[in-house]
Amino acid sequence: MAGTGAWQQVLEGDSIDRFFGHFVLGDAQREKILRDFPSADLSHLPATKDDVFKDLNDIWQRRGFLTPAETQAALIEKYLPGADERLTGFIRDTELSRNKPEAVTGYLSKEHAYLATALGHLYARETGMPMTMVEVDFSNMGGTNDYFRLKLASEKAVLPVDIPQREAELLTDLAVRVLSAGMTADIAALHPDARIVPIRTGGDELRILITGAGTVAEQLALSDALHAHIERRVAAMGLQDHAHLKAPEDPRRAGFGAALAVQDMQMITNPGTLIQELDARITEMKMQIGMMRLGLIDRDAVAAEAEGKISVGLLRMPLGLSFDDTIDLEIARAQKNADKAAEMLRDMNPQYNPELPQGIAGFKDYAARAMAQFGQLAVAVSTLPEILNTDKLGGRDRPAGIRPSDSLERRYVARALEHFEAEGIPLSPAALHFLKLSVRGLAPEDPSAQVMMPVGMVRMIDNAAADAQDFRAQMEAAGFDVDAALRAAGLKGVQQVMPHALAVSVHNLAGLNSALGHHNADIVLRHIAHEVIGGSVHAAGVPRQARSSFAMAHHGGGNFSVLLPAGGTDGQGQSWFASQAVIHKARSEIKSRITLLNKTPIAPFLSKNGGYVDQDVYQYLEEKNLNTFGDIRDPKERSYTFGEDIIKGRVNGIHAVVVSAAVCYDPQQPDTGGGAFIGGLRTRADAMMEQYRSAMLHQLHKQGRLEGGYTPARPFYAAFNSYAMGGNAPAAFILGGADGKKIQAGEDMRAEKQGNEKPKGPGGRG
Amino acid sequence: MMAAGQKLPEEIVEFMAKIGPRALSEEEARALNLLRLKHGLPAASASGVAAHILDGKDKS
Repeated sequence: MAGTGAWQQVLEGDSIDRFFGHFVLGDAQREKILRDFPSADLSHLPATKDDVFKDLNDIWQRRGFLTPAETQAALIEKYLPGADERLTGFIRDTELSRNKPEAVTGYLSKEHAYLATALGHLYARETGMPMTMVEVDFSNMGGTNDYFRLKLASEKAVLPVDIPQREAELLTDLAVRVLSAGMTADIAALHPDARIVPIRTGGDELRILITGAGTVAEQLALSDALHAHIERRVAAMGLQDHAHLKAPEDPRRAGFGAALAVQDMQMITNPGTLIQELDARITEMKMQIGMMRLGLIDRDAVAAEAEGKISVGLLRMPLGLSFDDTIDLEIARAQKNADKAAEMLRDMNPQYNPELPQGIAGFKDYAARAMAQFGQLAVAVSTLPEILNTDKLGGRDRPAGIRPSDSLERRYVARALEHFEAEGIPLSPAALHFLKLSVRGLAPEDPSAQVMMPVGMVRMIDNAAADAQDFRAQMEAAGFDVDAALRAAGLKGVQQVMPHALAVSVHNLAGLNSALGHHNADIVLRHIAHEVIGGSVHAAGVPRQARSSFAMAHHGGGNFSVLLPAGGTDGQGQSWFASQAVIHKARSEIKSRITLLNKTPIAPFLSKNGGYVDQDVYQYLEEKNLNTFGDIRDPKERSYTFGEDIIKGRVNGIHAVVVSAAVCYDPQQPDTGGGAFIGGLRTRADAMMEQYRSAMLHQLHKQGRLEGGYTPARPFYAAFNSYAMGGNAPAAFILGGADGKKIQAGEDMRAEKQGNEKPKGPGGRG
Repeated sequence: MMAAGQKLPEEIVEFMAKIGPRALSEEEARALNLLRLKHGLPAASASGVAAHILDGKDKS
């Protein structure tokens, strides 16, 4: 076994470091426990992270590789020897409930992604056992939504606009489910003894860890088999041909599908570059598969593959044939196979084969038959203990001693403690520590931003809505200085005291990923979450104390939400209420901090915060003139119509917009609730970001600093944009920019770029 | 044949080190793919996929 800190050298190693840290009591914690409970036995607890590492190795030796939740349950069980079975059973069920499959794919949800990956890599290194990672990316989900919408409209003889977007999305989700479940079934068939841990790591991304496929030949066979099965299923669903949303003119990118890269986790040389390497391999695979669907081949790739297979002994040169002749033979064979495969796929495709069940009904019929064949994945899942199996922890359902400003974690812990007290089950200090650790997992964390997953925010919004009335009724009794707090918040009466939510949309996360890589982009994302957004809310007067704080969630990409409780007490004992005044301050502060971030030198920032920055990276940043975050290039060319022209260009640097709303709805009413509320707020933030980008393009165009150009308008785009920019502008546009100022349409349109005021040369970056 | 746990060929390690942590361009992705194929490593190629589709094992 490797020595101290071995886990820090693995992919997403810092997630293991945090995980191990949860089991180790700090000196102050130990002293407090021994002071309060002099007879407490802490001898079973690990003293250091290395101790946890050793125990984990023991578990692997006995039980093999486990999911993160199973791993945590196993470690807790080890550290609570002889504990009451009602306690250990409660913890085990709580832990294993977190293995509940994600609704669309049936895989584990993103909360497990980084820790599972890190554990997988560490397992491969420590045990020497095979561990294979399959990185999967779906293709053209947006174009597939559009395809289903048109298909539904055609079958119902209505206009596409009359088909709810969600109805189309549910069909795309079903196609995703067929491919996802199919892949794990295929892997189980190929490697029946392997443990399979599948995770949905993003909206259109999956990662599957397999304790098998340890040889290159097995990995090649796995890749070919999975892709072949995917292609057959896509064809059978009739989803091979519709236009790609972003590249409608490129037939190689048409249709729905998924491509993957198979990675031996024992052969990871540099964790810092692995994810972008896999992304590149997947992008290349998508092109190759797209060509195959058309009966075409990439001759260079076929030749290189043949050369590789000859060199490693997987392909023999026929007697009497030279190396070059063998390569030519392989190219001819590949061309013939591609032709035949394309023809075979068309025969399986109801779009080409009228004998197959047709239309949406045919698609659903195929999906149901396929899903019935796949069977269930062997991941241990438990039902959450009944006492915790509720989203209702606010209002009348709020546990005793819990305040309206308390976090979701604290609410779940209080509910669990109520249960143990009612049942008369004593909890030792160690038991209490691990019970809390386990129950806190019910407010899951997004591993990239290290704030709550969206599901936690939905529950918090519901609880906040339910709490608000109680809060207003009880605040005087609780010793609030109501009049002073109302004055400070600019509110006219207690009826205006209510929780508020913010949706923050941050532009150019894709640029950060592209320029700096996945690991470094995560570091910037966490800075944006905790220092830019969280720090701004705190600076606006919302305290950060555990009992009177705000909640934040990451919704993927650059999308965040924040919930401010209706009020609380700050560090000096002053009462405060959430209000537009607080939000205005927070918004101004976010603007300042984004400005500061855009002026921050990249390399020193990453170096200081644990980023991947070596000499090569310094050189690369210098060569590309990437000095500060304001230099981060927008990877996407954007456009908007101005007058008769289409203005095209890139919005470089980091930008943010904020929208907000008071949380005031009756959660008992149908079609209301935290999900609908936060969804609506996020939609407004997305629309506002689009407007902001257009305003930025306009400003850069007028200043001659646009990286791009403009072309004469086409009627369709002109009509679309006149809606967006004209008198019928969406509400979010009227709300104003990230700085709170109104953005006006037309000639007077202005938008302040947040930060990075460094002058640029005409037509591009400086 | 490369066995499990064997080191990645130096040529590929150097290729990725030169790129650093950023995303690969389309040209770089293609070059990396050809390099991996030439070393007999798992990489993007549809010829094995097409052959697998034709061999008729997959009925689902």
